[in-house]
Amino acid sequence: MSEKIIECKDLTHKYGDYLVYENLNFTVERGRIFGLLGKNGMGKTTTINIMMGFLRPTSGSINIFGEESHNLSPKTRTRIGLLHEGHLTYDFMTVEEAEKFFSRFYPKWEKKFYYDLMDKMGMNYDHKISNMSCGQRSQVVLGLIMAQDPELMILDDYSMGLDAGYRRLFIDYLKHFVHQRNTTVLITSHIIQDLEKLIDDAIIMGYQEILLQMNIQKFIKSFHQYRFNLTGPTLELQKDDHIANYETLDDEYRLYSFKDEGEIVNYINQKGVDIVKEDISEVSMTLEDAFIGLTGKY
Amino acid sequence: MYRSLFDKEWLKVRWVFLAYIILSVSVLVYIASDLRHSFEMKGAIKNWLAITIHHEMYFSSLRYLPMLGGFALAIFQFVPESFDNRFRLSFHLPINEIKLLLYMVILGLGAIIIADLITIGGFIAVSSSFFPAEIVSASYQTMLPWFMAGLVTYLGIATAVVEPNWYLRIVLGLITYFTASLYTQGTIYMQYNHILATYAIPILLLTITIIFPGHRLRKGAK
Repeated sequence: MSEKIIECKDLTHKYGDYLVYENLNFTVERGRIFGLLGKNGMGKTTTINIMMGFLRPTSGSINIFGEESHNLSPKTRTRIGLLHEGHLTYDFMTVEEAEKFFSRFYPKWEKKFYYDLMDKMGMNYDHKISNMSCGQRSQVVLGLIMAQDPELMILDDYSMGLDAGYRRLFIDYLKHFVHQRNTTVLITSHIIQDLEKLIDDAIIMGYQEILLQMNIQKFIKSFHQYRFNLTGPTLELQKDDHIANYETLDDEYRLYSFKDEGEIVNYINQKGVDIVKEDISEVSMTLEDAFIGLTGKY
Repeated sequence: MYRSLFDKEWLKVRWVFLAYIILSVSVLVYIASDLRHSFEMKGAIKNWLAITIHHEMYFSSLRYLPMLGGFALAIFQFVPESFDNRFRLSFHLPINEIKLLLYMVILGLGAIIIADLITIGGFIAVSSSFFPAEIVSASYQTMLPWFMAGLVTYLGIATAVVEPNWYLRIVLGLITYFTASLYTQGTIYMQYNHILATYAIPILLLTITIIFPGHRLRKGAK
């Protein structure tokens, strides 16, 4: 059985009376890349803050390397590379000062990873971080985390403020590194398209609920979008066992479901609307399409 | 590890530390030129009487300087950590947060004490060229509470900046201001010599006070 690196048990969190989520459960096993996905404000950063002991949950717990998250020992913290939301770093430092600063804290430090990335960007080592663009800063932070050579990377909204090029650069480097090192990764993002070929498993967080928790390839294969038009009768829809989400645009219906085409046709027929398989077309979806299909556009 | 923390703190405070020293030296130059002018215009006897009978403090321009230095140092050292909640970076380092905060405070105190010792040394040198040892000694003893006010200001403002709650932050700022003001009230020479030890107590207490808001910040208090 694989070692559990992160174990989240019955986690519930409220800000005052506002419930963020209830009874969140998941485990991340060694070597897996786990996505904590959801639109803005769904509780991703809250979960990371609880995970790193910056926030006490209302109830439940998260264990990392077997230690309670609000009481991680300094030794365990050396095993965790943490990217804070907004690519937070000591921006009063230069490229070289930042490397020297962090290198003394981590016994497995390999500065090659950091300087390779800096050289690729053509970054001067005396360049002050506060004078960098968001994209450049993201690479500095990623380089520092890779040089730490952690067993677990926790990356909170790596995509924030990055254009498509920097997001791709970030993911390419990360992917290469974690596969080479068998690093366990927990990554959060509200931009999904880059993660399709990166993550193994995911939780998709909705408003005060967990919409989905499964292997990402299985999700892409088993989640469908069906489209059809109805000119005469009106179909009354609601989310249930068959319909994960739906959209209507004039007479066009778009249904998102884990059920196959036949089951959906039967379902619609049971609602009193005559429809046959030929009237429905299945539209192929990327991970992002599926994510929006599941979480909704609003 | 501690070397890294030292480097980080130095990066943040080096300019304000140098500025504090330059400002102190500038005030000493002003005191020296003012004394020279006074000696030339009024003569030695009038100056002597002004100090010994009327308790005029020829060094009064130094009264609030340590408070200003303590305030600036606390701001430059702790605001970059507090801004954008950058303390989360420090708190993720593999070092106990209490040790981390105390080390930061000790480094800040060290910087202020070094700057103050330079100022006091310069002051003694300037004063000795005008006055006998008894006046010089009485003068720097009179100034000691002012330098203690600088330490109180540094510690209080550092604690207020680390404090995550804005209401408590303002309260801590006001407490710091009024406490530090107590150290700068003296109007006659060596007025507070008999309570200098008592005046040291708040400084000792404030040295560890920062760990309380620091711990609350670490655990996510707002």
